[in-house]
Amino acid sequence: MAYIELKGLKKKFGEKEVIRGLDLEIEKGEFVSLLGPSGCGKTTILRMVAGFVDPTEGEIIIGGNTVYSSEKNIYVKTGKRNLGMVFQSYAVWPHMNVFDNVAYPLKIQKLPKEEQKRKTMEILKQVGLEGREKDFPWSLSGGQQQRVALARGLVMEPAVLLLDEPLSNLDVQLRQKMKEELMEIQQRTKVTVLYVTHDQGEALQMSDKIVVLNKGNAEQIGTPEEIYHHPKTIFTADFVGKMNFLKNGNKTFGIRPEYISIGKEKKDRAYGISGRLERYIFEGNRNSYLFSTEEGELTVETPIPVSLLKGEQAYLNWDQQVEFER
Amino acid sequence: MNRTNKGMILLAALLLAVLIGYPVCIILIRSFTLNGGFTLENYKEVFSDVRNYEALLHSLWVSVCATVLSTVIGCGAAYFTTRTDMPFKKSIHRLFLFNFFIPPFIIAMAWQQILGPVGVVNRWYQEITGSTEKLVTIYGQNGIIFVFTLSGSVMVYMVMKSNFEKIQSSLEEAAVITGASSFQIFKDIVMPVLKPSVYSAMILVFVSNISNYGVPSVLGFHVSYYTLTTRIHQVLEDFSMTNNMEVAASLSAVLVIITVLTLTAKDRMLKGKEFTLITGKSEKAALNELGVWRKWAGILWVVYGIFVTVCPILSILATSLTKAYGLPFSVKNMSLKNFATVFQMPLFQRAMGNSLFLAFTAAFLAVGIGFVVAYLCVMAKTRFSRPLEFVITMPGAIPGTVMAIAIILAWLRPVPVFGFSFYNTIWIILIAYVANYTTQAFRTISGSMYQINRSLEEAAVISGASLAKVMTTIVIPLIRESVGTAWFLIFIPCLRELTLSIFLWSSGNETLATAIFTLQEAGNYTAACALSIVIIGLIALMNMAMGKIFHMEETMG
Repeated sequence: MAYIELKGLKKKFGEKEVIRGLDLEIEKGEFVSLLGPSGCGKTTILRMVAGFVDPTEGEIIIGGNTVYSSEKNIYVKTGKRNLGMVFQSYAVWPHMNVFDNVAYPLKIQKLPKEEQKRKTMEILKQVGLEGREKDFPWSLSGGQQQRVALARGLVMEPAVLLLDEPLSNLDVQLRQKMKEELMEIQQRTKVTVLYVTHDQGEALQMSDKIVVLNKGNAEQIGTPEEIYHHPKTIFTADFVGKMNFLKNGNKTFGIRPEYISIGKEKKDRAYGISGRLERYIFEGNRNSYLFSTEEGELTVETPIPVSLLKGEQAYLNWDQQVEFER
Repeated sequence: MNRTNKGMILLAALLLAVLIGYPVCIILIRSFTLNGGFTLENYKEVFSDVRNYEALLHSLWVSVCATVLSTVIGCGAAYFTTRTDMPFKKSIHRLFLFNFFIPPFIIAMAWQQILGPVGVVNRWYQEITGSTEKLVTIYGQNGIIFVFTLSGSVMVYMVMKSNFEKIQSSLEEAAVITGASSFQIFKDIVMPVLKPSVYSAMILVFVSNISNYGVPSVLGFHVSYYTLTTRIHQVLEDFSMTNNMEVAASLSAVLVIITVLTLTAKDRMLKGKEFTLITGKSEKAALNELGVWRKWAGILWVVYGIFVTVCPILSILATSLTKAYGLPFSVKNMSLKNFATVFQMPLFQRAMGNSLFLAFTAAFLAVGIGFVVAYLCVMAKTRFSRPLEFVITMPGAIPGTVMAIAIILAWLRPVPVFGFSFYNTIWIILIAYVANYTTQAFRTISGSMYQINRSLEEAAVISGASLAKVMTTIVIPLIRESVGTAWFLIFIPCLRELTLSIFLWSSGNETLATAIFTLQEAGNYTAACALSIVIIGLIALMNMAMGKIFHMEETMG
């Protein structure tokens, strides 16, 4: 049995079905992302695991304990589910200093004072906040508040750490840094993570497993590589990374821009088509070419520029493509 | 989450039903009942008895007149103190602010002593001209409009001042670019932008006027000039009528309909308007230069401020210091004996004790209920939130007089379980205070709860904290200032509360305000004034304490 299991999870808000039956298994120590556009239900799933929202139907098992079951009428309170959570807004309590914020879960669980202190100081060291324990949240930067929230989520050594778009409030540079730190801390603490994001880059970089969600359905569950190279649906292909779609009869083919090479003539590759260069965009580390072909438009990305003028014909070759049934 | 709140919802619903829902329902039911059957007879009496519909017309007339006048004056004061380079702005603001410390019925009493038949003005006039005629009379319609206008103008000033300050200066600068004159900008930009706030201030003043009991009671009674509120009181005490309770209920219903209609009209009018044009943050707009008129404008508003605040206080103070009412005010006739007399009165001691107890307890209970309901409506939203919010905000639209009638009707008969009636005890006053002021507590506390991100609470729940723990370690510490403010904002008005108390007090259960009223009606003006000074001092002290505790620069009582 998996460490965490969601079975046939459904949620209706009034008449509106926001989660239409989700099955998900998470192994201990895994980093799993719930990825999807806003309104896909990813946050609702996280909140159902947390116990803030009751599922309409289904079962949730955490670490071998059934914490929710509509059939068996089981409901374990949020506080008894052994969870940690990092919120989008950090939710660092403004009336408590760093130490009190992080030690709060231990205080609630009535651990001895020394134990509280030891564990808190240890986790503060892990997240790089040593010496800041007396500081109040208003004197901390966004990244530091984030770390306080993370430390507070980890201090109880929870069965799962729930993260609700924790990086979306940070600026681009800090986001990359926190991403790396988060992965490092996860690997060190071996905590199981359920991570909600709408940013495909975050999901691809950090996860062991990604759940792509669309309108309350899991479109695909798989490793980042599977999701990227073998998307099962047009939605997944389109949402994760860039994808060209060519139509041929009833069939749609998906080709990643970097799969394609540009040549003067047809080469000995699995697939090919001729096209006319419509637009060229220089993007620094890569060059993007837009071709029009008989079967639709194709974008090609290469690190090395090719000498081709707008309006010129070229032959586009590739080995790998994904086929979608319409 | 929902599971743990069930008990709280039930408790809140029950409390609100008993405190507010039941009394309000019963007033409606009683207004349609006579001898146990459904009837429109009571309403027929409201509109056929000349004394009743005259009171209705009086109420509307004085309220509308005073509202219009105070809007003009209040907007002017706000404009001059915020948008011009007039001097003495701070002093003018302080003068207006201090007006809030004086209960309106005390202001009415003060003006009665200045402009009344034996007041200072008439005495001087008679001395100078030798005539036996009176120059002015404060009693009746004009006097009531006069006092309402003074208090109303301060209310309008307070509302409009903050709105004038909130206008985005870029809106005006965009007009300056086009070459518009400062008058054109005022007419074309500032006034239209502020129109919704002006309406809203007007309605605030109108509802406050029409609900007021103290002023028409002090200034109307002597000349049999009744408004709805005083007429309701008269009907209630008219035991020659067989259906006096029912007619009082019908009159109350009419009064509530007026206030509810006005307040609904305001909400309709303001829907989506107020926030689109005025934004919170903005840099200061350039001040209009008044040139040669600068000083005169300053002097004019200082004089008005003195008129509004200093005159009433001086008048009360003078009377409280004279040996006997009617003696000319001079050092020879001055003494502190009135204060000594008042302090020794058993009536004063009882009233002081009662008022302190009532204000203290009512503030605690109202804040408690307001907190629970605010939590359920703002933080732990359920489908019961809206009905709860509706009921708890109802007293905001119900004049105190009506609330008092409702409480009497609801609690007159013995309570089933306890087997005794709260009527004629101090407890019915407490119930009325709590019922009336929970709205205030709810508004203050819910306002600050909206500022709390839901996740601050959830982060504690995740850690395993119980509801009680979440409350004591997270929610309450985060909003402790507003809880404290809410307490003061109920404690202070309760201390001087008149409208509810005048209907509910009984011998032994007097409050400070009813004691002043009793003394005044008995003709003991010097004692009434001495007691008024004590109340004003007490209120000023409490406001200062509140300001000190919560580091607020300016507070309103």
